[in-house]
Amino acid sequence: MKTWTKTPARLLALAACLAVAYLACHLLGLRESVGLLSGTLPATEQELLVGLFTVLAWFGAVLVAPVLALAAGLHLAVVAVAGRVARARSSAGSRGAPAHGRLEQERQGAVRSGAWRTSGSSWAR
Amino acid sequence: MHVKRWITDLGLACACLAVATPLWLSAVHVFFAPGPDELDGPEAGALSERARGLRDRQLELWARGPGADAGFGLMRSNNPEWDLMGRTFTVLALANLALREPGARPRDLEVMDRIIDETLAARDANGAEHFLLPYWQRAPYAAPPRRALFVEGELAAMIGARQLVEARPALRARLRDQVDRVIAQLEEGPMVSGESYPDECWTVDNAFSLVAIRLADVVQGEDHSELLRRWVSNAREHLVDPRTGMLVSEYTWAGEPNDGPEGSSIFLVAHLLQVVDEGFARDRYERARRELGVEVAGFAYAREWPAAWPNVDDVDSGPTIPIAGANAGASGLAVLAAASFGDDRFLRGLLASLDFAAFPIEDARGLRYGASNPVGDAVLLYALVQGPLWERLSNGGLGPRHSTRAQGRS
Repeated sequence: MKTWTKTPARLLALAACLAVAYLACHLLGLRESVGLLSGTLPATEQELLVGLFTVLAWFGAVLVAPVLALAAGLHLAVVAVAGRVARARSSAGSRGAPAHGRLEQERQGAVRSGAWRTSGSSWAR
Repeated sequence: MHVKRWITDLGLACACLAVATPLWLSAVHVFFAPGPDELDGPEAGALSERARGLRDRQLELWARGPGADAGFGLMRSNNPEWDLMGRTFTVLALANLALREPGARPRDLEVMDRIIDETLAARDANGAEHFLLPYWQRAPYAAPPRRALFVEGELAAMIGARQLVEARPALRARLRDQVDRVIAQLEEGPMVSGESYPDECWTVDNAFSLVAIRLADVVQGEDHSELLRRWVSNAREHLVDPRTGMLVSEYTWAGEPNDGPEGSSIFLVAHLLQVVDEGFARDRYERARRELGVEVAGFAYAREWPAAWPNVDDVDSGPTIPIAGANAGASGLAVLAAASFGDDRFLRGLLASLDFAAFPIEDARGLRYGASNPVGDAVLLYALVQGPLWERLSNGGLGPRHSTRAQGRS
């Protein structure tokens, strides 16, 4: 089961990274630097790159991160449902097990309770 | 076994992403949808919160003076035209606000006067080239003395709007002088059009001039409707792109189209022509809407060029986002046109896009958009408060009786 939760965890981690990246831009006041979208080029190349990064961080946080989080939730839900279906099939199968299997279970139960003497023949009383 | 599990896991992850993507993309617009008060016209009364924020920002900008604002300086260094356009749209917005809110009229008129006086002083001291791109010098104008209709027309429109709200004696002679210049320029040309740059007549600049003439006619009690009819007739015959039925954005003094229909000007042209020929204007808007407007997943935006005219963006256009083809200049002016033609559905999508992609910044100084600039913010303010000035023009200078917006409400 642990293997099946690695992918959703990775998706959520990536979503969190995108959200944090934009949050950092917002807290640093970098929303001021996106005037390039109107064709107003900033004074320096550095400001242009900061503006571009902020734009990409915003769209990453608003468009990509929620998709990743949703996908992680869907993934977990599918795995959980698949697991339940598999367990239900497994317990239904054990109620209709073949005769030799039932006898073996009874024998082991008797051995544990001491009803069987196992020396020599396991079938002797 | 591990490889098989890995492949299964990867396939499941891809399937989950494929389901999650359309789910989220179809829902994200809900978080940016405009409030119900945003789509009410001036007849509704109170300004929306967005309009108030934009107004406060413009008032604050002009109280300090644009020279004190770093953003204004940066904008002017990119394109001096935006300096003049920002002033024009701010004055027009304040004219509408003064008519909407009589209690605040003295404040609005004071700021309008400051902008008009400073603009006239800058033009008088430095020449019209103070507001022009450097290429105005590349060749002689077709019609000397060289005069940029872009500058003369917008100056005339600013003064005309001011005088229509409340006449200021000191501007009477200025208005007559400005409008006479504009009329002389239009009458000189074979296309009833004036140049803004050497052998370049821009449809939007000529439309602004027609508005200035309409304003002056109402203020001064004159009638130049015959000149306006000639311009419209000429435009129908010579300036309509045969592929799209839209007006071209730019043409030579002799009437040869130089460029196709450009979103960053054609939506504005439609709005301006509302007070010149309403039917013609509405047709221009509907064509522009059809060719350039895009609605997707609750958002809306405008392209700069129709599909039949693949072209490059110029300095007025601003950048275009690839694949989507969304253009900031065209989309901003589409807000104005959608508001003035009562296209609520398109306007709703455009306002959602504005909040989604334009980085609103609200602080003690008011509201502005990080992805915009002072002229873009002025255009948005004007778009949200326009109506009363056009109504007054449509009614011959009287109070509101007929609303061009209400006619086309959707």
